Amino acid sequence: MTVVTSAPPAAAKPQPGGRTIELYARLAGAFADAVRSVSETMAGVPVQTGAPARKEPGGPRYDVSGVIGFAGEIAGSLVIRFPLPVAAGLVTGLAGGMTFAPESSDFADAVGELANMVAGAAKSRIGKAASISVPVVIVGAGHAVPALSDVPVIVIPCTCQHGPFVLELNLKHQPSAAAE
Amino acid sequence: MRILLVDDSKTMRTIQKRVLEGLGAGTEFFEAADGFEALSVIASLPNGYDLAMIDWNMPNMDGLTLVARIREKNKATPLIMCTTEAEKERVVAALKAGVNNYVVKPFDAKTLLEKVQATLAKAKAA
Repeated sequence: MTVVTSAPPAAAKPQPGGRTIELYARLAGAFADAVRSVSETMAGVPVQTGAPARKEPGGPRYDVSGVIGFAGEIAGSLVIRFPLPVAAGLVTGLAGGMTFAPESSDFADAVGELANMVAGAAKSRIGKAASISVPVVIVGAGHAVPALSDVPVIVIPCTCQHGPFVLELNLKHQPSAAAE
Repeated sequence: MRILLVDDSKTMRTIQKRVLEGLGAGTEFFEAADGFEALSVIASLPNGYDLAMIDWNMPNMDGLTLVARIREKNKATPLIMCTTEAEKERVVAALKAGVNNYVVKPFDAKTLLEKVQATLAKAKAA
């Protein structure tokens, strides 16, 4: 796993068409199911998910991001983004009650594993051939995460007992691509 | 009972250890973060091990390759793949490579413990 402390600003522009919207709806449903399942099963923290929406400029900033790359029929990234207290609460749940300093490798490892399990669970629900990367974790107040510029970023709002967080999907369908 | 946990996430190894302590007092754990490290740990265990939990996606040497390498010399010790890879083709590939059982993440503690106990019982009966 890689841990970084900053990244260039995100960019996302084009308007999606009908089939693309259908794909985004399917992807969003799979990722929402996945985050609810992973959080409750592995961290003992129930999560409620809201309606997905396109990310607009000037939205909230976050302190901790777990990034997973997708390659194959589905390509791009999943980013799970948290305010620090929310990430800390979920990490403590995942680690069976242990707490870690946000700058520690254990904290980053736990956030990365959470992102990895959400990505893996969503991938199996989507049913498209794709491989996923090892996680990259970014810790730092107000950091930005780069995105593919030719597809919009879809935000799925999530809430748990520790507070709100989001999933950001920046994914496109590449029917001709084969997974590794 | 000697159990080898192979996963690039320390968090996941800790979770597995916590659950598998339910196998009983005296359970010993050995850990590795990738396939190469696992082979090195195995070579350092003169008395062998009773079971290995192996993740699929790891840097340097993945779990499927590790299973094949272990099975070149050791056909008997039970191996369980524990991974986010849930597609049927992946499960089939892992079974063909020589795993005895397959656990998909996320898992609940009861399911993991039961699968490990069933795998150990089957291996003992064979």
